[in-house]
Amino acid sequence: MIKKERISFFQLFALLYTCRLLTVVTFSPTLNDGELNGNYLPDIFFFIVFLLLMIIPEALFIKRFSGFTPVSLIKEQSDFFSKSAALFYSLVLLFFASVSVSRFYIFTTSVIFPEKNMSFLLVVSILVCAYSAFLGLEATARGNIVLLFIIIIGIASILFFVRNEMSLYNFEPIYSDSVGSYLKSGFFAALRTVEATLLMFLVPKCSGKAKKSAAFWLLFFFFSLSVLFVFLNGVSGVFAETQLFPFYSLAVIARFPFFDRLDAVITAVFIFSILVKTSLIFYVSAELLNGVLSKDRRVNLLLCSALVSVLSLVLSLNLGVHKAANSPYIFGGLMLLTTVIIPSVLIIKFKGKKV
Amino acid sequence: MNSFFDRKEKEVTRPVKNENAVVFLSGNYETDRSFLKTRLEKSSDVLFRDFLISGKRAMLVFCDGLSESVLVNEAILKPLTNIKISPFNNGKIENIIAEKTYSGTDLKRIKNLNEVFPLLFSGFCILLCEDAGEIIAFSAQGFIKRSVDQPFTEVEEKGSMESFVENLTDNISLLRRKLKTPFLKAEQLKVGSTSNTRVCVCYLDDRVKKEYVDEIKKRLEGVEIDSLLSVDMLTEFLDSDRLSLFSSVGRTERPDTLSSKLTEGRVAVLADGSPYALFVPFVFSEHFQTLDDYSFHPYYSLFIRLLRLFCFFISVMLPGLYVAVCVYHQEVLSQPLLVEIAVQENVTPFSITVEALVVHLMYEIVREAGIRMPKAVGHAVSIVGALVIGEAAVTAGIIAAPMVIIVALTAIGSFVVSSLYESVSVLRLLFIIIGGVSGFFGIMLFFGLIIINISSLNPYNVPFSATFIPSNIGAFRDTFFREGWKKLGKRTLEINSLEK
Amino acid sequence: MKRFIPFLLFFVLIFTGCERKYDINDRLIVQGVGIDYLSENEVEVTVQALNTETYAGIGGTKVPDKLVNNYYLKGKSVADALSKLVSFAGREPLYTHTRIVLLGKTLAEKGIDDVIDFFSRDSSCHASLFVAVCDKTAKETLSFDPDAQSVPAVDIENSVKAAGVGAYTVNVHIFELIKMYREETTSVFLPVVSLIEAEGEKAPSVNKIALFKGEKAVRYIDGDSTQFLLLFLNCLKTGTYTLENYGGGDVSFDYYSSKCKTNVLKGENGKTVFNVKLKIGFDCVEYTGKNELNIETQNELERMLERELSERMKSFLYGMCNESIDCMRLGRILLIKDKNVYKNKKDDWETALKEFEINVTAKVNIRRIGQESGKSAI
Repeated sequence: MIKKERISFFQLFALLYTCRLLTVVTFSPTLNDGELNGNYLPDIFFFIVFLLLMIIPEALFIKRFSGFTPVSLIKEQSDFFSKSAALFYSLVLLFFASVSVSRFYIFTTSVIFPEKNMSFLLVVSILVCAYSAFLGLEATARGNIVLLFIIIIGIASILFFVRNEMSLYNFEPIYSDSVGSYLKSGFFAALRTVEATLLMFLVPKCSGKAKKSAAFWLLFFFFSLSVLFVFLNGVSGVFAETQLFPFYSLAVIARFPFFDRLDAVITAVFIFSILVKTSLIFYVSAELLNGVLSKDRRVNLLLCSALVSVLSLVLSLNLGVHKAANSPYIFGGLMLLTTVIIPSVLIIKFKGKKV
Repeated sequence: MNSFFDRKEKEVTRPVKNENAVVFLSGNYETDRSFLKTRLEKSSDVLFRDFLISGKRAMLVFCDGLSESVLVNEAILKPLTNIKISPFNNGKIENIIAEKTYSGTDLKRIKNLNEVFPLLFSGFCILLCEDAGEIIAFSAQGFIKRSVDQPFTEVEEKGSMESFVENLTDNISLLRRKLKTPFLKAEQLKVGSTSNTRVCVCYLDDRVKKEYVDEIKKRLEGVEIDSLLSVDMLTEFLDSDRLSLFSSVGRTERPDTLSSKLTEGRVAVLADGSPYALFVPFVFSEHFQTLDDYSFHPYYSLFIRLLRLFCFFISVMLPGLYVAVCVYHQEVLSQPLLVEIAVQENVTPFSITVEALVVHLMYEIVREAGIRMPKAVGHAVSIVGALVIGEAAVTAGIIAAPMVIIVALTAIGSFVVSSLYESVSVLRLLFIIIGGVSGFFGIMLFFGLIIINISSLNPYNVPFSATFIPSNIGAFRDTFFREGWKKLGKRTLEINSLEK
Repeated sequence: MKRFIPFLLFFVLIFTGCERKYDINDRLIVQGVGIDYLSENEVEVTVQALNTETYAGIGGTKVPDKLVNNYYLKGKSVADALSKLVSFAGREPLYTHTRIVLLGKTLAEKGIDDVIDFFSRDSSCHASLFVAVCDKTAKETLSFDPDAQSVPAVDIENSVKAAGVGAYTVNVHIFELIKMYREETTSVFLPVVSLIEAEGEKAPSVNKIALFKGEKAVRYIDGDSTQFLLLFLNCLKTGTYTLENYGGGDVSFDYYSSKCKTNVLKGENGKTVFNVKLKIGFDCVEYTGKNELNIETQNELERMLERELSERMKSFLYGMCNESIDCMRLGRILLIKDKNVYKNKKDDWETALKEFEINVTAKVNIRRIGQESGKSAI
């Protein structure tokens, strides 16, 4: 009665949306090496443009080698290179996960529990993510729909209760800076999109209407991102630049009739999205490591958890280390390599060959 | 480590023996008779009546208290003693007896001597006859049984007042009265090597998916259990293999509820001696649905279902959230509430986490006592519970008043969705501990984990979280919002269409 | 091993709880913080906290004698002073419910940069807690009624909130203060809390605002001028305006709507011109003169109001510009309307302010004259 794990494209893009939402709400002007300015709309627009450009090689790869991932394709030629590629991809993905987890760790130790030692809880939460990954892609995808619903309700309620603080004076005119600056912001934002790398490994597990789902979630992402930044700028203005996590500060400003502060809501948003993102990365890494390190998924997941725990604690030692890891050169370089260069090379290498 | 525990376990247990080895009739009357006599010796309620059937030796065995004496005398013994079989008759004696003497409805012919005992102790009369190749069992049930009563656990405002009883035959008849269709099938099995409990698998043949029936029968046949005393023991065998605090097997004591489930293509399992029925596949959203929802107006049904969902969340998460907020996230509370709670909690000797655990444990004790106690002392327990927990503890400063309010709310909330009580009570305690240890952080993480765990259950290939996710718009017609009967009545849900 | 895991998890979870954590009753609920400048490298911080200690006794709980406790802490900086609070109070402070932060007069005139820095970094304080300047010391203002049955910080907060509604002063949240301070050209303004004495009792009152140049308070303006500031910033929700000397008396109006739109143009001589258009709606509430107020006299009143409002607004704006105080956020308006001019002028904003030309036009609509004037029927 047990069938192979499959999810719909709608669920896939919902998962990727949640993962990207985490990057957005944990946005930090200090750590992201960029000013929070009024160029958010052009930034977002160019971010989407650059992202779409970056995933062209991937899209061509998926179309040409339907049902294959880069690792399974390389396996057609060489088992050794396939294992090496699998190891490389899983390490890169785990590095991305560590950066996200360390960002979250910085958030909890700076804001929620500044006096508490969160290391043990961090390890526990990574184990929870590993368990979620163990339950399978379907479970994570389905759970994500519920959690995403709660996340959207939470964010919408924060924006609703903060709307009175909005002022036109807090906005800066669009295009107040040079074209180069928002092209740069858009490009750097696209470089931080881990989800593009995950896409290649998850598409073979999907069924349904890909184009419709992709278009819907892309538009929804653009819309939600714009709304978030409009509110952030409109309410906080320059105040946001002084904060380590501006979206958290936005939640602190909001006043709910019954509760005093809504930052618990944004904390829940952070936790749900990190759970989904890390589980997804663990799942993909464990699948990649299947046969490379161990055939037992549990062992692979434990190894992934151990690596991410250690790496995320190291990356959150101080802000400088985290910023270096999150820099466009390291993070973005790896992302370009895995999403653009390798698929392009594979397309060229396997051109004309039957697989 | 595991082998150490296994070894220790083996020292105090023995494997379940299959007592139902086949022992065929030997053909020798004396041998077979002494086999039965030996097996049934020292049972004062088992009666043996030796007599002659047309000159041939015969023995009637029945259980006093399970068989109706008048029926045994008039419908079985009398015709048998009066039968005249011609010596030139070439027919088998068992055929003649079966066809010409017994005027009852149910008659079984068995060759395996070990099959005699389940029938004997179900109220049948067993006839062993010389020269007969089979043992004949005559239906003569006359044991005391409970009449159909009101449901105890699933009370409906507008529904019927009938509930299942312990007798399997009566339960099937209750179902038949609801679904007067030849497609309602009731296949019987025996489970339990010692108890030989009759278990019935019921389904509607024209709409059930055959794989469900086969899977369930396969699982039931594979049950290794000594005695099946309640149908709930089968829950674990029918449940999903994945570890979860939520059971994906539905349970009901109402024939009307079970009938509605069968019409959706589900399979029901009933067991003799148990006034409940299990049914699969079962989805999580059904915990928040009752039969009354179909009697009320749709808008009220929507309201009441959402209220149940809200009560579920309250009963699970409220104590944990309260502890987390009071210990780690005091900034969430508004000023007046903060001051009030701080003043009240200032007096108590325990920390908030310990206080919450103590109060909830006390509540569970009172609740358990309320279930197990003799009716005569019922008032005393409720008075003690209310006074001790509610009044005296607060006045003495042992427990703060806000905590008592929280407990009261969660207790009442948990009874709104009583089918989830097991999961709720365990989850509640877990949330309190997690809230006290790691605050909101841990609570949200655990909540996310529970959601993913629920989403991972796929018993019989139907997602446990179905109708929510995968979002099936077609099924939303009766998830929270219930469409009107004019539309709802035209089409029935097919549970197998929710398969992933 | 499987059997051990739940117990292991349970004990591990329990023992992690032995870290520093504070139940709600172990916290010191801070209601007000006052900061005074004493000398170079010395500040005095006054912390007002609720007294939540109660004593269980026979017959119930005993209510504490004092509602609040005031703690006076000295230190090199605000953070340094506050770090000593635990040793004084014996409890871990909870700043999330702080209602108001008061800055002493000398501190405001010396410079509030350090204070703003402290609150920018602190995540525990509610970002929408109010900030105000005192006309004396914050210590004196915060502890004005030691035996009060209500919390003084809450009383002060209520006056700041209520006064903001009445259009005579502003109320500023801490995040707005930080925002104003960080904007390149904007001047900070904060309400001023003073204690007025009536029948031997002191009560907080807010009827003027302090204007800052950079981090220092340089000027104080009264309620009348504040009204124009609020009008200009579109923050005026309700309030009263009095037209004097009409028919031998004064006519009082309530604002029911107000809108201010500012456009930036280039003048003939290359000067930057701010065109301010006011659109105000009034309801007449009182008239102390002899003339009859009716629909016919309505137009006359409207013209008079338009003239007066335009002149007073213009005078206010020019006054601020001449003193190089940009509490009106002209810089932000210029940035939005004409960013190139802004970029040229922002580096020497104080001089630029003095060079701007401002034109004000007002459009007034009197919605209600009210009941017929009170002429005696006898």
